[in-house]
Amino acid sequence: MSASAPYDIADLRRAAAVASDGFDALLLDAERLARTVAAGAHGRRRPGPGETFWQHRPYAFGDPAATIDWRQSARGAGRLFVRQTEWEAAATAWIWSDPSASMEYASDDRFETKRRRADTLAVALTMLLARGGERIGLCGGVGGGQERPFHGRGAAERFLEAIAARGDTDTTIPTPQHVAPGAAATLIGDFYTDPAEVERAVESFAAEGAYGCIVHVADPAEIEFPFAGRTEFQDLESPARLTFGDAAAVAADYRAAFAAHRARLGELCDSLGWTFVAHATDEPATTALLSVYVALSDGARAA
Amino acid sequence: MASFLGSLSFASPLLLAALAALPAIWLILRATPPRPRRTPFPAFDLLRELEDKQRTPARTPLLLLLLRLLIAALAIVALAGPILNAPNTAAGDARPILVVVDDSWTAAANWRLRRNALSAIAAEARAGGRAVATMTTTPTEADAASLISLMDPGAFQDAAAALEPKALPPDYAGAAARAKRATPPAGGYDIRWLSDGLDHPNADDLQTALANLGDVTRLVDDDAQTLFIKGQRADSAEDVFLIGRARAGDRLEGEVVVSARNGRELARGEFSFDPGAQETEARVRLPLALRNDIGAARIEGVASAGAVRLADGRARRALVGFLGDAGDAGDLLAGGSYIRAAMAQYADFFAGGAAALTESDASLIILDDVGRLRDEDAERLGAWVERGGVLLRFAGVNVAEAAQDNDLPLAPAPLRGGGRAFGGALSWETPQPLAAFSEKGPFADLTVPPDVFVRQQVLAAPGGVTTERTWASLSDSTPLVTGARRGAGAIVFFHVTASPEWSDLPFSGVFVEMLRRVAFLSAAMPEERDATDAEDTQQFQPVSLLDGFGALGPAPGDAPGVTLAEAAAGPNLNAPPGLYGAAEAPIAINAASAHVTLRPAARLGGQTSPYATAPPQQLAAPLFLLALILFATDALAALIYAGRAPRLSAARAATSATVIMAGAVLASGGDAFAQSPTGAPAAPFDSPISSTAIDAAIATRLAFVATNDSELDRLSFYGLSALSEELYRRTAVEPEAPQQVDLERDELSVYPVIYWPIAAGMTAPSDEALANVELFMRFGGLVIFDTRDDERALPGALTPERAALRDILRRLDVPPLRPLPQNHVLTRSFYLLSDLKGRAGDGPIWVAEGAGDNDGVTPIIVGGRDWAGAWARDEMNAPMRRMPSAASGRGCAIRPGVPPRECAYRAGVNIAMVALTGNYKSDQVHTPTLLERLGAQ
Repeated sequence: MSASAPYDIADLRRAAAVASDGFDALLLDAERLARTVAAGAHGRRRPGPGETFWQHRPYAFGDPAATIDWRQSARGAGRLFVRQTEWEAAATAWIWSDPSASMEYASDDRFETKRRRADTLAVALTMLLARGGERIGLCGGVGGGQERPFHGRGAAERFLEAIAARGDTDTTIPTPQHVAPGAAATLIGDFYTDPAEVERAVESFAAEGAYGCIVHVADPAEIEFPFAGRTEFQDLESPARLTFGDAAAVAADYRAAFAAHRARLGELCDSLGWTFVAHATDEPATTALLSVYVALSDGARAA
Repeated sequence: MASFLGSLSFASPLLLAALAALPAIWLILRATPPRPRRTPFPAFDLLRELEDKQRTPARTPLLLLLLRLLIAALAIVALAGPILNAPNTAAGDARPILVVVDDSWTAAANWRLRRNALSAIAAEARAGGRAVATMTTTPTEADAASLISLMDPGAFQDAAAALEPKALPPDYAGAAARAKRATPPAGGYDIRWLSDGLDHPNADDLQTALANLGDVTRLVDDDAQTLFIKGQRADSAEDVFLIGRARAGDRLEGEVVVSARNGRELARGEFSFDPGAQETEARVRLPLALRNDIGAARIEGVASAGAVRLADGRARRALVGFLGDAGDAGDLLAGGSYIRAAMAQYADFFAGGAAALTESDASLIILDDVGRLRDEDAERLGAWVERGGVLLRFAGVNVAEAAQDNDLPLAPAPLRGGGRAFGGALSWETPQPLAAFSEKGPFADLTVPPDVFVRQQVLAAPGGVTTERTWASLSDSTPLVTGARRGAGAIVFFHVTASPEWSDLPFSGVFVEMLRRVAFLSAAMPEERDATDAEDTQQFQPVSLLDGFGALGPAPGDAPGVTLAEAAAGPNLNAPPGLYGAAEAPIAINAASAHVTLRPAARLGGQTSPYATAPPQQLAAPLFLLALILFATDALAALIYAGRAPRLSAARAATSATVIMAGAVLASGGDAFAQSPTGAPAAPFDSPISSTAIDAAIATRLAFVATNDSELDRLSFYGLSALSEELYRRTAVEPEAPQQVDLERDELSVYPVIYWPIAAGMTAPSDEALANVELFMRFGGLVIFDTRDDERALPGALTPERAALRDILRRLDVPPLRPLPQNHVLTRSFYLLSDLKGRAGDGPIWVAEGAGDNDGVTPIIVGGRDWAGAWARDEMNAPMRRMPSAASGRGCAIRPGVPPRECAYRAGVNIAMVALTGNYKSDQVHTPTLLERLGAQ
């Protein structure tokens, strides 16, 4: 719907309803997914400003009187205790979900498209992190990463809006951008592009001091290559076509190439201390989400 | 194979040359590969890197190639118009054709062959431009008189289509005479004799006569078995059908289907011919009640008049109808069982209402201790007796009761009133023996048994008529049996019960003989009609006639009647097979009889040829269809090859194939279905059961009779609802909500109790409604008549409700009543009560007297207590009618202090328990408790 055309209010509303329908469902999926992973802000495992109780410490000179836990002190004989909470520091997590056309694929009605799975994972992760008090930023958003990261309760919705606003692009890798040291980056996509470009992009994140993980989302058909007979393959990102006389004959070669692609991504992660998660759309999203979450928690602890 | 090819020809053989183009098609098909399967693929970059191993297009697979060639070949062959069994048109013969058709029932079974042959001859005649003449060997009188005339092929085809087999045996003599009268054309006829292949009388004459007219080719059907039913005999337990066949061939098995006169199938009997045998039997075992219902027997699958045996009404057994209940065979207290035992040898029994009985074929109707008859029923029975029926009545308590107050209709002699006169008031000390049989009666030749004593009887008013009509008398010359002729029929009255309660007569052998004499008094009985001598010139008009295929159809209006002698002579042109006389007891003339013996006409000689087995058949359509199916298969295969249908599972493929094949079968097999024989008429269904009856049958429900007073109906409903609740609360009876019933229409047998509140000026129920109630009471139901007027009743005065009740009871056959006695089962069935209290007063309650039909359980309670008013509670559980104070009247229980409303509920519970459990509590089970309680007081 271009601006020059006269607005058809009904059309617009219908489109909005359809779009929001999908998002509602996606939000719901993401929320259900997020709930399966232990909720809560991750602490820094050290005393500091925060909500949760961390430890009691004998009173030392200079502690403000307001920090004294009188009840605890009354139990001991002649000693005063200070109540300390765990330091809960908010980190910024940058999430990138592959917006390229090659994600718009599902080999069977039973499976979701890769894009939907990637977005679900991204939003679920947003929810989890937002619940933990983190701030979440979307790589390659409309503002080119210039807008401020989201935080708080509405982060997931706003993150989703940002994803929707992004529209279709043909960027198959995240654009390098400035991130704060200690930030976490999660890149979700299929990375079907020049491996060197992928490396460059990921290394640019690492160079800024970010840790993170790469989630490679693939359709079962991409993994198994269950084609046989005379088959014409169409590229999703270009009008290119390839015809094979017998697709089954190249299946073994294809599988090897696919494995190599994943291996390359894995090696890249290993070399940077990142985590690589291979995910297929016929698997439950929970496993991938858990892997990513654990990876980010560990990374945060290490940092 | 050769014969198959020999019978296959093409309408346009030149088209077959196109088959030469097949190799070219091969090359073209080979060069065009199937379209590739297209699929989007995201990991396209990875594919780009792969070496392309098979970029060159594949060739069409060999299997598909062969399939497509086959399709092309089939299409070409189909276009050439192949015909199977094409008629042989290559004859230079210009002689006219004379077609002689055997059209007796012996040819009916395989009539299709004749049809095929006739159409083949018609086609041949049309092709050769030859004239055709026909002649049948079972000529009608008109046929026999006319000369053989030539027709053009078109007219012949019409005439041939109208030819049908007749139900008569062939008349070769008549046919030969007709052939002799004919003059052959120059060069003679080309004679085709469509024969049944059997040797009939005068076959030689016909053969010679035909040979004089031209060259005879006799078409014979060597495989025809020509089954027919030769006869039937009835054993005591079984009907035996004699089956014959024309050719003593291999073992052959089949079935005889016995059907009722309305076409309903009754039974089947199997038969089996031993190898070489020409006769066998089929035995059919039927319940006695159904044997009289047999209308016809036919050999299954043989469409021929000879394979049908029509049942003759004269062979039927006496049909005896019981008014009301026929009694169980094993019930030694019921009179019905003694009557049945005595007559079982020659009679079948059924029970029903007066209307049903008089409209049935019953020759004897038994009224076993039936007291009052409604006027309408009495008239009906009277008219039926005038028409020739015999009415046999037995005495009993009901008759004694009915004789008390009015002149009993349908009695041969006036009865002396006074049900209570018997027993104590009888005039003898010792039981009286049977003394004499009257000379005038049908028992005249019976010997008087010395051992029959009568203990009780209903007395006839002494006088001239009684003496005259006494057929059997006791030693004090009081009548035991009186009887009188009325019109064509008779009324016979036994002054004792049919059970041994009153006399020894039912035990005696003379009882059997007496009943036999009575049964055959009927003018409608076969015995008498059989006795008519041969000179009887009474004409019996045909009711329905058989056609050649064995189907019964209505007789044409001008069909001649037959006398008994003619009927006995067997079928001929003037007495065609069928049913004659009265539809109820028809005289049957059957096509085949025991005299008929069929054998193959092998000795005739002459030139024979078999019937063409199949009519010409166009093969183009099935070939096109086959090509179409293959084409669909090819499309499916191509799809699978291109990978277009990866998810088309084997099951779905099989389904599609089945659908296609089913369509093909339907398209091609239309005439195969059309040839299935028309079946017997569908069996009649019972009328549907109403949903209220189903509801009431599933759960126990109390019922009340709808009046036209809505306030009264409401009170009845709430009264019974409250009683149902109390039953639910206090007893194991768990009734559902009560149901309002309409006596005219509703099925009553599903309710245990019907509460009938009598309103002043209510519309009198119809006779059907009263019959409904009688039936309900007779089979264990309990009706409570409540006039609700005890408050207003004055001794000797008649309240409007009581007048209405009296009008009803006058027309209802109710057992004798008496006031509710102390210790009646009604006062003991659940609570121990001294009275069945209701809301109003202390008027008497009437119940049936003595041990009636239902094990002594009273089928009726009459009172004026307004029970429903006492029971009724509205939705708020508040009583709807005021009760009298506890002080007034006596209490209801053995111990005092029970509130009046509670008394009413207890009475209701007891009534319901009696209705549901009968005399279960009428034993002495409570005696110890009773004694104890009395002692405690």
